[in-house]
Amino acid sequence: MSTAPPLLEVRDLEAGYGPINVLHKLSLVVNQGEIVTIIGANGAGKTTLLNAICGVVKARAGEVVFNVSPEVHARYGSTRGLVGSLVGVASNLTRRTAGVPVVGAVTRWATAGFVDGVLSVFADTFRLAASGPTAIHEVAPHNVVKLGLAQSPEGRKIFPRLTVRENLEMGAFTRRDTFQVQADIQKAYQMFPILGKRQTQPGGLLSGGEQQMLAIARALMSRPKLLLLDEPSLGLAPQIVVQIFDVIRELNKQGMSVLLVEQNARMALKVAHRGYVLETGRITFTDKADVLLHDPRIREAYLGE
Amino acid sequence: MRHARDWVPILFVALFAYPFLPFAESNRGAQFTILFVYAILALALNVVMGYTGLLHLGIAAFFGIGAYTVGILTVPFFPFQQSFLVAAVAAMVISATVGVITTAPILRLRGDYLSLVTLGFGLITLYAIRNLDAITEGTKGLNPIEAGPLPGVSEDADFSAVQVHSNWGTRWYKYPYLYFIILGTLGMVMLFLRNLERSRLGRAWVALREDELAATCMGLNPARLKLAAIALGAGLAGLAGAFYAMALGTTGNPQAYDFTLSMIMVCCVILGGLGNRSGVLLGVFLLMGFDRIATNLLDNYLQEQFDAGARTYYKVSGWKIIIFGSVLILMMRFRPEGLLPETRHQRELHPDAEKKEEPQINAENADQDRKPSLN
Repeated sequence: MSTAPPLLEVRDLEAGYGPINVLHKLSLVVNQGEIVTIIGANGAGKTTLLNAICGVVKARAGEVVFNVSPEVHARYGSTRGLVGSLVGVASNLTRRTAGVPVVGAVTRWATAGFVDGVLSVFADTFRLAASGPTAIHEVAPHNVVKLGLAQSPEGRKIFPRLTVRENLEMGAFTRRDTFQVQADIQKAYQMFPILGKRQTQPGGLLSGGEQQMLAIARALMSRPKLLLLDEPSLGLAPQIVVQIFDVIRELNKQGMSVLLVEQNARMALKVAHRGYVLETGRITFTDKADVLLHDPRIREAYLGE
Repeated sequence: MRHARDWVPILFVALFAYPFLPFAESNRGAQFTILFVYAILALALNVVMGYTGLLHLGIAAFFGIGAYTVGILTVPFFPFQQSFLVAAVAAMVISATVGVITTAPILRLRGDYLSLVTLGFGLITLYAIRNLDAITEGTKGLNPIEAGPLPGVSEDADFSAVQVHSNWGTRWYKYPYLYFIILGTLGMVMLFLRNLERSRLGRAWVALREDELAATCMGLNPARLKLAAIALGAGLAGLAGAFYAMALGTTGNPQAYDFTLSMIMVCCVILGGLGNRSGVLLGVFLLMGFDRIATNLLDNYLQEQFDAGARTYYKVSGWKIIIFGSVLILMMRFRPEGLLPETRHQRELHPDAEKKEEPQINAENADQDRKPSLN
């Protein structure tokens, strides 16, 4: 392997709920361009691990270190005081109004731009100290997204009463480049044509597979460097699962690093480069995915042979 | 929902034209003016309740804070003597600030607990106003509120030449057109909220209401978004309070800002349709219109027809609260989403209606699912 620092490194992580620790001194590494899968039974702590990485569950001990790319640092690292924010308000206004000739539309976009801008004065107080490996376990979960880590949560959790398009726009909530976001939505429609066909429908009317595609597309809208997928196969027909995993493989070919948590161990190990086996909050095996796939102990415990 | 929106501009045009009509009475105009103020207050509550789903039971406190800010900044008793415009802006800012400061520590609370704290806040504010004699003059209220002229209008400008209709507007010393000013403000608030709902912030509120965890995973900051809603709602409520004090010429008895007002506003929002601006407008005009205007008219009518004397049970006003209650119970039973529901809320409350659409969509699904298997 190269000597470049890993994209994500978890060191001796402990996390849990109330009196119970779920993760015990857990360590793992995801390198740039890899698909890493974590397999394990119900209650092993897979979802807790993902939630602890993205900050929704607080780490009690240990570290989560994420390699922040210089591009992200350029966006959030520069000091932007109140004056800078007010300039942001103005630029937001002009961007919103540019090229919309009708007076009604101008006022509409102007209000929206103004309110967004005013909000940004209060909301964009997040500062990033440095690019490169950064400890993120104390960063608030909504700010973790800005660093280039996006989660597609367990059970999809799409917004059922927002339309497909609005769902995607919510995924890009942290971004300010309105036109680029629109372009990325078109890209998402190319990747998942069904979403394009249903863009004006509420998310709740989609089928399970379509919702999963929407959840992945939505997570991609923040242009993450690392995609966290929590059980993308949950409750889906086998054929749809194959489609979803094809998408994951395709994303990886385009350079996306993926941390995949799965119960469907066979499918997960087939697409992944490396795998970790999680048992009651501890990593018990780790190796290349094809080695794990042929390991008799794994075959017996997780592949049903 | 197209048709539901179309009546609002018509209503505004009609209300604007009303003072010019031959049968207009300035007395009725004053009642309408107060109705517009309550409409702004209900829209403010709708920002908090309808958009983010926080049940706020203390909106009247912000209404009171707005009214007393205007009182303190304009009455001769205090040395400030500001124009109404300055006082109204101050009322908005102070209400919003108080809203943020009092809500920030309790955002971790959920559901009923948060509602209880807001209820407590409303009560504390009411008693503070009533008992801070040195500042608020207790139950007498601050008066007379005769705000200085608007910037650019000379102190003794004579408006009698442009009088609209008989003695219309003479009630308000330096603001003869308060009816139009408040109607215009209400219209602007409606437009502002309409734009807001379609902005990024409006969608973020919907997302937050639907699933807070997923929203956080998208990079939304729930605490800040809720605070933004509270700030906006409190600010608008403060604006409504400012106009209320202006229209009355006094902050009046503190009783006007008590829990009953908060509760009636919640009723207006729910009756009209949670989250829907035009619905909220309708709810206010029905409930407050019934309360302030229709009961008086009916009382007078019954008095003329039957000469029932002073017995309460022969007057509609005596039955007012019972009628309120019955209407609410019937609404909750038969139309919980309100008279003019917001589409997204309606889906939430009537899942059956959606099922009718499903077969068609499923058929489409089946089509697309079949294609890959044929290949």
